[in-house]
Amino acid sequence: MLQEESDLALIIAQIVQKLKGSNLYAQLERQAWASLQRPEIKLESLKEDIKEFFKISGWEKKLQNAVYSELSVFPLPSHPAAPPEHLKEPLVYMRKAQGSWEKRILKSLNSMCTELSIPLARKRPVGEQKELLNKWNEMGTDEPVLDLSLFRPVYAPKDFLEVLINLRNPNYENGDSHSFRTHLGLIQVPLKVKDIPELKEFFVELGLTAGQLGVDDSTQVPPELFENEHVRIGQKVLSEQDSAAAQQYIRQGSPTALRAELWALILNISSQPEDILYYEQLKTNVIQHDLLVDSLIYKDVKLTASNDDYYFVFEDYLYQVLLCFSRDTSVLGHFAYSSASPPKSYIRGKLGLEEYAVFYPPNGVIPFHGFSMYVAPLCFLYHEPSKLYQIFREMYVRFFFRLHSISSHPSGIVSLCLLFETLLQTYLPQLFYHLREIGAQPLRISFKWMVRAFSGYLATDQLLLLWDRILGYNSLEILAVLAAAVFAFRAVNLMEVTSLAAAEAVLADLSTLKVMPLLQIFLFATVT
Amino acid sequence: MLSLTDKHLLSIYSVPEGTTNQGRESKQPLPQIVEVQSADTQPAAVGQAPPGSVPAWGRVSSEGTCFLVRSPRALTTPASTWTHSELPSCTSLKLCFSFRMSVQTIRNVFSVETGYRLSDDQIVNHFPNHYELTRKDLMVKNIKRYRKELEKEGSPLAEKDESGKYLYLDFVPITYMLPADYNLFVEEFRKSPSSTWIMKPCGKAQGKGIFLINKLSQIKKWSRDSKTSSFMTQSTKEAYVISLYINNPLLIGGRKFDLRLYVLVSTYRPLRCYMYKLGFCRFCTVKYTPSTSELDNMFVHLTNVAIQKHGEDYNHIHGGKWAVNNLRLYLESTRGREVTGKLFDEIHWVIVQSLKAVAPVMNNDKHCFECYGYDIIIDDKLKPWLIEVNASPSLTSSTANDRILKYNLINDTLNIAVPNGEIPDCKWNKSPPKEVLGNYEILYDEELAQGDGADRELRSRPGQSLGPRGGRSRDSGRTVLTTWK
Repeated sequence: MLQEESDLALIIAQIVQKLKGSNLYAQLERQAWASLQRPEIKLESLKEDIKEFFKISGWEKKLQNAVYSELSVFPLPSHPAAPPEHLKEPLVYMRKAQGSWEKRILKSLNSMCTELSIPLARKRPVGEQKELLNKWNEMGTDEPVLDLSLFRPVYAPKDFLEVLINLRNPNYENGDSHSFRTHLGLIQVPLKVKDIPELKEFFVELGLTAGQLGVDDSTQVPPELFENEHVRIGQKVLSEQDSAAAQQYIRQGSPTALRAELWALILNISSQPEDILYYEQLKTNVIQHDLLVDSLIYKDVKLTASNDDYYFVFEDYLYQVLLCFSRDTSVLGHFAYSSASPPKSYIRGKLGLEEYAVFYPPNGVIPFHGFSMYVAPLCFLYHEPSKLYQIFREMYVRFFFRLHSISSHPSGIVSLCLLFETLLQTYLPQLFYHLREIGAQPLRISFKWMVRAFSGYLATDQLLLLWDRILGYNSLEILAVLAAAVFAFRAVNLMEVTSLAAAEAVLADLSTLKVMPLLQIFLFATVT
Repeated sequence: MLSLTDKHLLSIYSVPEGTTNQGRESKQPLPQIVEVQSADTQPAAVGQAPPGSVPAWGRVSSEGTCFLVRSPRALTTPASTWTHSELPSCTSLKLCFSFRMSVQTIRNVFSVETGYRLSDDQIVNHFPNHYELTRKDLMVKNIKRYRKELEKEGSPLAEKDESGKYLYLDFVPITYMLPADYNLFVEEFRKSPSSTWIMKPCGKAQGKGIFLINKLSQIKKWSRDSKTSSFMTQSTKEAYVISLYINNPLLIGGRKFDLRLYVLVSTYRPLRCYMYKLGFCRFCTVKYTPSTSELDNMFVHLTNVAIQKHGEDYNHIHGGKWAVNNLRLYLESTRGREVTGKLFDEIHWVIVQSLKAVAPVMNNDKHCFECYGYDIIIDDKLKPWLIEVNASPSLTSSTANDRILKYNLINDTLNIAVPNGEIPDCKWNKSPPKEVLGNYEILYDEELAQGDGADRELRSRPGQSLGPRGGRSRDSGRTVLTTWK
């Protein structure tokens, strides 16, 4: 009891600390001062009156949402004696693996630099700055200055998968283990992942008895049964402006017309004038400086979203958002709770001198092949670039970073891979065994889906329904469940294939799948 | 493969879209046989049809522009043994999807001189005078006439607002025939001299011969040039229409697009039409700018794939085509459900009204059905504008998805025109069961609507039930179609 109380006190202290530096704090203070002019604020009951004023004017709700947002982003504090790197990743071998992976990426980036003799960063000449400013809204049409064919993505999901496959826990000797299961899958690290009963409990709102957008809004179901009421509740949630309620609500899916606002509410994005100003500043930074990663971003968009049936129309938005993202130093904040660390570069001639070190790119995130697909689906929801940008940044620092860094977090990619393999092994052992025997390890096929959070694989409406649940449960585990459900759904065909290529062909097109029925059947209608 | 003589088959043509045949038009070509595949020859390029939807009797030829349909019984008869007398029993008809030739063909089929008589089990995929709808000038003429008639009748549909604009029937940009209506045009042009106008030759497709103007002098120059040019005679074929250019199109990702929607008409009197759910948006490859300095850049203004595919930024994977359900998802997400539902309702309304406008003049031959490609532009106030209707929408596929879409389109069209793959009988009542509609939805069924309307007129004041902003627009998009049935 005492322990819990002190924990709580610690959390409160942390959040207060965090919020003190925020914009909201300044706003609240300003509001409090302004409220003193009001007749209902009395000196004798000053504190109570101001509290009451905050409640009525909606500022309390804003504070509540901010606290809630902090709670869902930051991990709960560990033992006070634990060193800060435990907040990033408690397991030493994971930290080490992430460290050496980062070194590899950096090395490959540096060698590309030397090979092409292009600097990591340079200031643009004035003429070029003007030109870029003029074509800001149509960067996709003009070829960039550099020849893009020289650039290769720094890494692709399959390179990253190789790293994960080779991941070992030095304290856990595989050779002596007699557990059959550990030898079948590709992931060989022991981590605790949920089994189906636990998943059922966790995703209880997805159950067969609960109404579900993505199932109960199909044309055969009359909207009176579920949809109309659900939309009405959604409007109410929005009018209350309560993040926690929105997050609970969205577990049953968001109506298309309310999604943009609901997501913004859950992510606590309000698009204040200063946020727009901030975005404009980032834009200025892009225009002033040319970074090597820009070419990587161009290349990635050209390779992925530009060729995508759903997303090609948003090509120019993707450049804008991703280029600004690479300049945004506020993204560095997420490294406090991410196992990854931002790469450093040194000013010319000062190699190794810490005082001349800068993070490179400024946001600390090196894009990989497919990175732009994290932004693309959001373009369906927000046509205002600055809003689109903020939503993406928040989605990244809450969720997406976990999909390409090595950690033991339940939403981290290692756990997702293990969850996927375990689910398949446990509930579809024949299929798993068959695929493994023909050299088509299921994870080799599903890995790219999970790394991209299925973006670019599912039809957009289905993808948004899936991401609703990511936000609703504040967890990426649903990705692994869906990946397993897809295998279950195509199991009959997969049992007939005899090669990896054939298995890949069976699973090549996911755009016709309906996500929610698949998830429901896999989680709730399968005999376990 | 074998060739039959022109007596044997009716409307068999394969002119890949984009082939210019100006020379041939004057020669009045007789119907020619292009190809008939014998039953044992594997038809080319059916390719990767979506699983489960392979029609038993539809075959797409290698060019993808024409195909041959046989009833199952025909398949059992070797084609080489067909004779003219047998043709009626093994219905073989080739659907022709090339615009200019088909006009000739269909005329020949129905002309008295040629002596063809379509028998009861032969059907054909055009109406004899479909150009009433599909020629740019005639469509506008018919719509203008239709409005006037409604106005005369005092129909509430012809209601106007205070500035004299039709409330419900103002869905075609202001258009004049040139040179015939030149004076009317000048009058209109002077009212708003800063506006941009678009010139289109009446009888051409795929964006050929189109240009934009914003000064009267440009028209004068054009008319001088066409007079002096020797082969451009004053014939009606070279007539142009000039329409007010929609210079505030809805932009997505900064680009202009138009909608290509497929509409199937199985009969005009009573009118029965179907809307294909899988239309698409065609995007320009270049950012849109209303600035007049770019008037000459057709990549900015014309969405025709035939134009865009020559642009250096044309992408061959998606071909600038965006499924119409993406548009719906995008609009509903960013603008809300109500306005999106209203937009789609209005699109349906525009299509039905355009068909009603031509229904009285259409030769409603019982052997005919027709699948139209509607081109619609949405402006930034989310109002749809009917640009033109194509009698022979391109059935070539530019991308993999396009191929699937068009394959399904042909399949579903034939399923409605020739239900169950049985030998067609043109005397049937043309109301196919719901199961065969595939991706088609009933857009309007006059018989049902009249039964309905009669009921309604007893209950409510006339007009309220039919106005596009009447009760319908409050419904969700999903229920709109049922209200018309």
